[in-house]
Amino acid sequence: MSSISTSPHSHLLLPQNQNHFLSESGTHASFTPSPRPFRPISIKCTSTPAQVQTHDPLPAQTRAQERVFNFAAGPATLPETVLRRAQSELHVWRGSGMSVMEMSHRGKEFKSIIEKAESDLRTLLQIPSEYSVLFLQGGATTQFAAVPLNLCSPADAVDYIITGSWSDKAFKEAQKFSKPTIIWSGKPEKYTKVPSFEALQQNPDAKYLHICANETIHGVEYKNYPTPKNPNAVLVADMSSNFCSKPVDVSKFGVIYAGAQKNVGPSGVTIVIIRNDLIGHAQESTPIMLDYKIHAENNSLYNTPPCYGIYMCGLVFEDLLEQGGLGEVEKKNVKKAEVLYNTIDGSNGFYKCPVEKSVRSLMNVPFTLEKPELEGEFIKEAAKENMVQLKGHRSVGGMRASIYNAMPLAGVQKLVAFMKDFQARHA
Amino acid sequence: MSMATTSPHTALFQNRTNPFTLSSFKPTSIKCATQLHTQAPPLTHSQDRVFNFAAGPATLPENVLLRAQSELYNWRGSGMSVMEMSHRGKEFLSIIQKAESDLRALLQIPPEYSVLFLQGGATSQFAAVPLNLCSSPDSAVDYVVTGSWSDKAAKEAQKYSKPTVIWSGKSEKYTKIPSFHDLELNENSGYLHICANETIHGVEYKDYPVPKSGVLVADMSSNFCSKPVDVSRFGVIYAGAQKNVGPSGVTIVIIRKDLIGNAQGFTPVMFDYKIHDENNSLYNTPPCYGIYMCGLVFEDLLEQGGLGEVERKNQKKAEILYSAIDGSKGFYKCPVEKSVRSLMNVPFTLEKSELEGEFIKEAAKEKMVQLKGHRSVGGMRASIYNAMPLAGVEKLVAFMKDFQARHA
Repeated sequence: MSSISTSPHSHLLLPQNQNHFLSESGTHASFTPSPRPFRPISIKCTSTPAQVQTHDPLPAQTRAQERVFNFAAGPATLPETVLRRAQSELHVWRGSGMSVMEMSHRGKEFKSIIEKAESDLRTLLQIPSEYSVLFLQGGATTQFAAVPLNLCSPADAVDYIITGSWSDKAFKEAQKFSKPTIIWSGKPEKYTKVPSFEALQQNPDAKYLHICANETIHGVEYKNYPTPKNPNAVLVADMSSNFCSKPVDVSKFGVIYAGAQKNVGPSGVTIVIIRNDLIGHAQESTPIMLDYKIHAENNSLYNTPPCYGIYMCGLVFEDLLEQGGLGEVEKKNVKKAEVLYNTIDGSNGFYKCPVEKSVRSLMNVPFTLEKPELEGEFIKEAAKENMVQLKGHRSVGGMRASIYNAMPLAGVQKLVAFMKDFQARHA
Repeated sequence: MSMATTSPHTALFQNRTNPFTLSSFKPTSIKCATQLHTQAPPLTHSQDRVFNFAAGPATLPENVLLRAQSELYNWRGSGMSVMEMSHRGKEFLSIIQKAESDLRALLQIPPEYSVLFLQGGATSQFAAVPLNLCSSPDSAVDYVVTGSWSDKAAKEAQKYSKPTVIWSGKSEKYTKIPSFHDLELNENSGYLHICANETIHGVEYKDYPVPKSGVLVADMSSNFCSKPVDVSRFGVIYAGAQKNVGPSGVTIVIIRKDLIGNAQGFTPVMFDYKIHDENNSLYNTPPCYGIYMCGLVFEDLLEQGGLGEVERKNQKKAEILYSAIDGSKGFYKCPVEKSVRSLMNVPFTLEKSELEGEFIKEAAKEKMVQLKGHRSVGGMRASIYNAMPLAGVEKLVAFMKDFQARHA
């Protein structure tokens, strides 16, 4: 019998202000740990002695030659160590005699997997005990409906800030289940900004304020978060494309939801973190699979969850903890983004990123060429150099480099070297 | 570049007691842009593997698991895992298109049907079916309740329609299926809903009723792709993948196209069949790895000779187990009416119920796991889906006989 106990990394609990300076931005991303005491959860895995075959990560120099640097926006690159480990135990998981894909979701093996995944996630994000963590299906798009269905009645006012396509879609879906108002939209400026919070005209009766923490397509990211003016209202955030990329004060939010397929796992898993007092008020027409109470009461096992995807998320959470937690992860992400944005800004206009510097995403970097006729060639040449999926979203054009947690610094460095070389050859 | 061309297997046309009319079916040719890797199935069940009788998620074909394992890290020279691919890239498009094509070949799905790969399990479809098929919450629909799952479906439908339970097997503890002649179908019913195989109670339709509306809806989660089915008799078939065709997290919907596009106004976008049909199941990010796994299973089923062959294997496995139960002179009992006993889920009890815990424990020591019956039923349940090899059933039967000999 092996015992795997999760324990917090000490620096995650130390009160500290982490000030990270993005080049030429002057923005401070500040993390303040929750004032509530955080108790680590100890989970024992009751499976028979683990036949864990851990593969050491390949140093960048000897990275498997056949692997590409995948800049896709989602699904996206996963940590190589995680993929190797999953591969090693796909057929038989740790002496269980079966694959994770074959396990009953109510058996002790899978229960240990999902409980450890939740426990590790709670540690990473320091999720207070008054929040539930749900592992659901249907993507963030399903949450566009589930959030208003659970948090308000059809006649209730709710506020939406639109900073890109995804918050716009969330707003439109909310019209079926609530009375949403767009209190600010970045559309006139082609989604390159986040509003000043002081100037927001919030509805004093709004039940919640909804934001999209990082817009995957437009590359706009909140570095700080607004507070709803209605003291009874809550802040709701779609964090699909920057989830677990940096520390977040969960207590500022009523609900956080995120599709897993960018930073924390494969597609098919959607994570919802919700304050417990917000659960249990679903509209009567709410489909049972969209009712947070059903999932909270059944520990995400009301029906068969996406078991293999949850297992993969669990491996990723473990990997993030081994890296030193989200503070360390953010440092890496800041460095990677800096390297890329510096190259764009230092190209004398050959490359351009239209997003306001203070809210440029650490995760999704859209850029265009001064000579758009060269964009096809850029993408094709990069692909030949094993840097793939750099084409921007069809609604935006240009290029987009998604540099999520699992994109190694070496990948960004290679891209940057290519960009400089491409510019030299086409200036 | 290799070509995977699907074509109907003649075996699918043999030994059918209920001949069906095959509408014109043209095989689809899909070119796989990458080289196919074929791996020979293992000759013996791996020593470190158990025989897993779980009800779902359930055992998967071993050669499928080994193949998935071999290409998890780098799929066929693409330089990435299937889990890392953009769902709109050419690699994943080839994966989902081939999965659909192979499924169409297996079930001979007519061209007037759409195939959707969705999320949320069959439970989401309990809501999606009435939301899409009923023009308003006042629409009448009929439900036949043969077990827990059709009961749940009827309850969920109350939010979006006016369902009537026109027959329920509850009073006889879900051991029967109604005679179709006796069903009192509502004249105005928009559809008739059945659960083709009840996972918990082990009750399976061997034939299907004909609704007046012409729209028969079936939850086939636990017998999907276990035998040939005349898809044209249905308006909608839906199935969670995690019993016969893949891992959990994928839900397959087969729907006649004329039934698409009439969703109620407050249908969530992810529950609207039109959205998924128009976007080829890629409206948002689908459960990519699960779909890939289903694709490998479909390929494996075709290599086995298609669903006619698969049904023969399933019948043989079920026969062995039911014979052992029936031949035990009452030591083991299966309460389900013989004509509707499931080929997939075999519930049974011991005459001496106090021995059941010991039975389950001893079987587990012999590497036969997850034999405990559903918590709402008790007893034992052996789920013997497609991927459970005959050897697993034979081992179980040998154990049952030995256990009886030691406790008679």
